[in-house]
Amino acid sequence: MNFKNYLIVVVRILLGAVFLWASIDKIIDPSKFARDISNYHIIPFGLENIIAIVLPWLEFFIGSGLILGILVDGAVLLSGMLLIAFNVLIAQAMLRGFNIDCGCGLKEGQLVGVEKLLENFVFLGGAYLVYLRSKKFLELYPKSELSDK
Amino acid sequence: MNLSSSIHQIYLYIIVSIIFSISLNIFRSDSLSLIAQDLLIVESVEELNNDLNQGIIEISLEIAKDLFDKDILFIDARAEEYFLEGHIPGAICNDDFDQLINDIDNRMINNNFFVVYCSDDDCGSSEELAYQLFDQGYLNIYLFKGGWKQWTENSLPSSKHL
Repeated sequence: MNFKNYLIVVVRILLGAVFLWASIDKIIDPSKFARDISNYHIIPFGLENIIAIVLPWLEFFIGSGLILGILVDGAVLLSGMLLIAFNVLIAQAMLRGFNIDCGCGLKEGQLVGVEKLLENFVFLGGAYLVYLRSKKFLELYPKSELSDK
Repeated sequence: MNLSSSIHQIYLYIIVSIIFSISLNIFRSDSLSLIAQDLLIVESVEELNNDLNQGIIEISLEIAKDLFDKDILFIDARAEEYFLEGHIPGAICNDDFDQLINDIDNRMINNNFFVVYCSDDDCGSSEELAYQLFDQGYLNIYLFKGGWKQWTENSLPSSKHL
């Protein structure tokens, strides 16, 4: 039981580190991230800029929350929703034959493809594991019992 | 707000991220406009002579062909393996960025502009390279978005040599 709690904390921190790491390059160079988003040819009305401004910080706060154990339920649900959205974007790009930089922020020059889809599914599995935890363990806030999900 | 609720936590993450990121963007030296602007598109060769046209400018196949006939430098933004399979004659390849800068400086003699292209409208690497070169101080860059696909579809000259 105790081992399972520690395992979930490790998965939570690793998932947080992934989001935190992915946000750094995008925060440093939002123009490049906006062009990466634009290459997907799916975002209308020039909204790629505002997405490129806000999304990296959302990833940063989600990553920080997961690592520090703050508002973990919200962070892990958001991370799952983002991972699903990313995979939908990548899959449509692959189906349309685009050979573009995924703009994921983890590995420089990583292209859209099956490898990236599988990578995101692994992260999604980690998010699901953390979401299903039965006990709050090593979480800073809130410390109260888990709410209804 | 009851922060033990998952939904309220999600709202809080989103609201804090929006407020924080947009506020920070205002004070950044390289701040982005909230809505992206399309690149300037030049339709005719005459417009290219207008001095006001500085920056990254999108050009059509007709203009690309005209610039090719005038021996303007072309830069291929695709990976070298695709470049070796075929490219616009006289174009240079992008695989090593420092080498590319040297090549541009050596080859760009009588004018201060060049054309960047990649596979087609969807590849994105020509635009990415154009912005990288713009950041290096090249202020007149023409982006041929139709790229190699449109060039070959119109039976224009091609080369397989370096």
